[in-house]
Amino acid sequence: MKAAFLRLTFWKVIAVAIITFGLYSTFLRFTQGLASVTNLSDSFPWGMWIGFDILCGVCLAAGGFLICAITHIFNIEEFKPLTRSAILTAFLGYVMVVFALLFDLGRPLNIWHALIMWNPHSVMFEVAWCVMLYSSVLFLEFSPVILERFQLTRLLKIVKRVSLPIMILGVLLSTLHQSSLGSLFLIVPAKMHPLWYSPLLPVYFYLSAIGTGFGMIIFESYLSARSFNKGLEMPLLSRIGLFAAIFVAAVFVIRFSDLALTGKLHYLLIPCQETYMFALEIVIGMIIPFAILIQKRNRQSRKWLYFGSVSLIVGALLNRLNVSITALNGFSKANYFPSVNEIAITMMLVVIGMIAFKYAVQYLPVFAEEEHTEVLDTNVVVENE
Amino acid sequence: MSTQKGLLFDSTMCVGCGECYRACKTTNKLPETNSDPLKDHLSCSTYTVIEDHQGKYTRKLCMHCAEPTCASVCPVGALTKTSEGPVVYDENKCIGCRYCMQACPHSIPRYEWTSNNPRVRKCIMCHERVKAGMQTACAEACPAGATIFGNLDELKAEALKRIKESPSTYYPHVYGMKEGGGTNVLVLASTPFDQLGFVTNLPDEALPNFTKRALEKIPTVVSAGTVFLGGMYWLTKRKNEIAKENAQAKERKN
Amino acid sequence: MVALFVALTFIIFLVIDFFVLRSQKKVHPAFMPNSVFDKSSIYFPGKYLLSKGHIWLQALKNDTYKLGLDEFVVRAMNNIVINTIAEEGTKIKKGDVLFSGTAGGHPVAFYAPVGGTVSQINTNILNKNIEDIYNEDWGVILQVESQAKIQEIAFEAVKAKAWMQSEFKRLKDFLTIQTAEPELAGLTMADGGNIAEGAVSMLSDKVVAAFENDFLKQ
Repeated sequence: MKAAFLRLTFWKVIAVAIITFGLYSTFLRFTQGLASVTNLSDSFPWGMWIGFDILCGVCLAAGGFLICAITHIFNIEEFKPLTRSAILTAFLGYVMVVFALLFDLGRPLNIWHALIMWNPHSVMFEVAWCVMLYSSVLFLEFSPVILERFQLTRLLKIVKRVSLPIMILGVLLSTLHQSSLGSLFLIVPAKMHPLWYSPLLPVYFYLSAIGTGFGMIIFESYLSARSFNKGLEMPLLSRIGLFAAIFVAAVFVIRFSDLALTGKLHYLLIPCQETYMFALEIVIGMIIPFAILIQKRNRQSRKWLYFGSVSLIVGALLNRLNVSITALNGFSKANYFPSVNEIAITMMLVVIGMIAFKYAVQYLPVFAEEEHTEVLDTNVVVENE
Repeated sequence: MSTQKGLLFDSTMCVGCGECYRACKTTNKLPETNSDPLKDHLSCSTYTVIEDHQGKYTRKLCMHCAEPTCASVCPVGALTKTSEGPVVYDENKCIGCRYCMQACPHSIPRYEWTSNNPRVRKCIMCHERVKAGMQTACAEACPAGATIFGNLDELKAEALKRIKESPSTYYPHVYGMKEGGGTNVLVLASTPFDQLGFVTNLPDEALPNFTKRALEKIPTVVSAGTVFLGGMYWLTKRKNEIAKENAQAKERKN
Repeated sequence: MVALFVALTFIIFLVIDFFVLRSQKKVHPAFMPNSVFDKSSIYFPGKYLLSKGHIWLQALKNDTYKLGLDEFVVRAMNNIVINTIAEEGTKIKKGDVLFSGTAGGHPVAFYAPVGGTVSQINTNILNKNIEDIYNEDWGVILQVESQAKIQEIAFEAVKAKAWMQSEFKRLKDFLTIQTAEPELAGLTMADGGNIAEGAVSMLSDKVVAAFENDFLKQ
């Protein structure tokens, strides 16, 4: 009892400190403009809020659409126990992404303009619409949990009836915007370091989001096990680990074939910051997780599966931030590094997301399986016999 | 006949007097930022500057691309290419995503970072004046004739003519003829353009095409994706049902 | 550099959390032994039935069922070695001993959930640890007396899992009663939620007998 109290205090103190400083930074941001809190400049207009909060945030929330595709479209029903928490994580992730966007946009009050002022040539326009629609889809996908909790059976029936088209829509929207976040950078061929620039950026973003999404499903299961005294669904997570390894390998093969075919491999021999960061990204994000997760013995070990998932996530963080910051640093010569306030606001959003997850788990049947449908199924079987 | 207007800046004729800089400030009602126009840099209060590259003067300003990257990336269409040539900005549409700044191959747009309702700032080629049939303030003010305003077609012909007539004076290329699909601001110089701080690694193709190629695939992805996902759903569902039926049949037989 | 900073921050937070947990004498789930018996990882195959004496039943023909020990007892006791199985061809009543052997050296017996005739036994499970619980390591094939009885004594798969989880709770209470300080005996994991695999067989003959009485005789 005493131990539980202590644990709460340590992280609680940290959380309160982060939120307090974050709120102070928020106040500065909305009263005195971007210059007062960020290190952004004319030569480096996109910083950590775009690179981490949005690019990494969306990538790490990919677990939601993957698990929906597995359980509701590919009908692999064993994975259902993982569905709800993955959808909840994704939903909260996207809410945080939208919040981060409100901080980053110079004129956040105009955010609704994307609804009525269309520019279909803009990748940003497409991303805005996809993120908007997908957040709504995630809400619908998660709504049965809320409806179950409050026993709104009729609404629940309606939602379940439209669940297939919603799931398909969710996967399509995710495919579009996960890849389009990569397309954002297609338009700066002259500004970006050649190791990262490629016409295939959207493909890399999509495939790596899948690999990372699987990693995230594993990681968040450990997080739930750690925080909610919940067991680990090891057999399911091991299989997820294998999926992740396959996608990581695919990205690795395509990326290096692309580098080789376009004659860019020699850039790897130039000793500079970009080369080191590229190497780090490849080793941590691809080689290590593949080496760990491809072996069945490791996938079945709690420890190694965890290391594999952490390595996947660190690799994804490195990749997204390399594309959005490292690769553009050489051209801009801005040597951008986020300010304390930028970091505080980012951390505040992450902390708020985690707190929201905690309360959702406390008050909603997140870790319950979809009991209704399954009980119904068994009844049918019994009747047939 | 194209109605597109443009500017031709001949850096070999520029004396670095700063008249264009001052005229730009006056016309656009911009606050003073530096008493010496040669020591200033582009900012939200400065749309054009003169740079001194070892005694060779050159101007920096929005190139007013034929197919502007900034206009193509703006999600709400706040930046537009006008029929007269200038690329203009509508602050009432802007949401402040700064994709235009990130995407501009010449890194021209500047931002009001200290403002609580910031705007993107850049040369708009004196759009109001041009619409009224006047020339830009910088061209009007230039005492040396280094910046001239006119129909884009005529300016292009003029630039090529100058190179042809005195090949010893000019580096044999008109910057803006094909860079990133061409620009409405053309530049002549006596040295290679990278020595004057111009971006020289731009493809000849207009940059918006790079994202257009990706965006064009969306309808295919959506339709193929729907068919694939729907098909997979049906197939796997059917597979599960058959497995269930088989299991039941087996039980019954037993 | 920003990328490196963010990645390192993430890792540092994980490391701090590791030490915070350690200072509270808790173990991060990644570093728990793989042999933790936790409630939610209990598995029970669909289409199988489960009796309250922790014997699973798989329907083969109308009145013929394959029987075996469920995951709950195997993991609660660990190291179960079966020495004798009810003989082939004999008729047994509900509550008769079906298998007997030892768990961690302490004698234990498992009882028939329903009466019937033993038509086949799996001698492969004799004198070794039970591992492939629901497949290879089945125990006997039983021709039951009455098909209707089966519905009375056994749970459907979906309910079986929920029931096993409630048994888990009962097991924790059982261990608390049997040993005054279970933490010291290393039976429950540090977080208090999970039980070490094989906790029951780590104790005495008396405790195993009590377990048999409370959990296996139903």
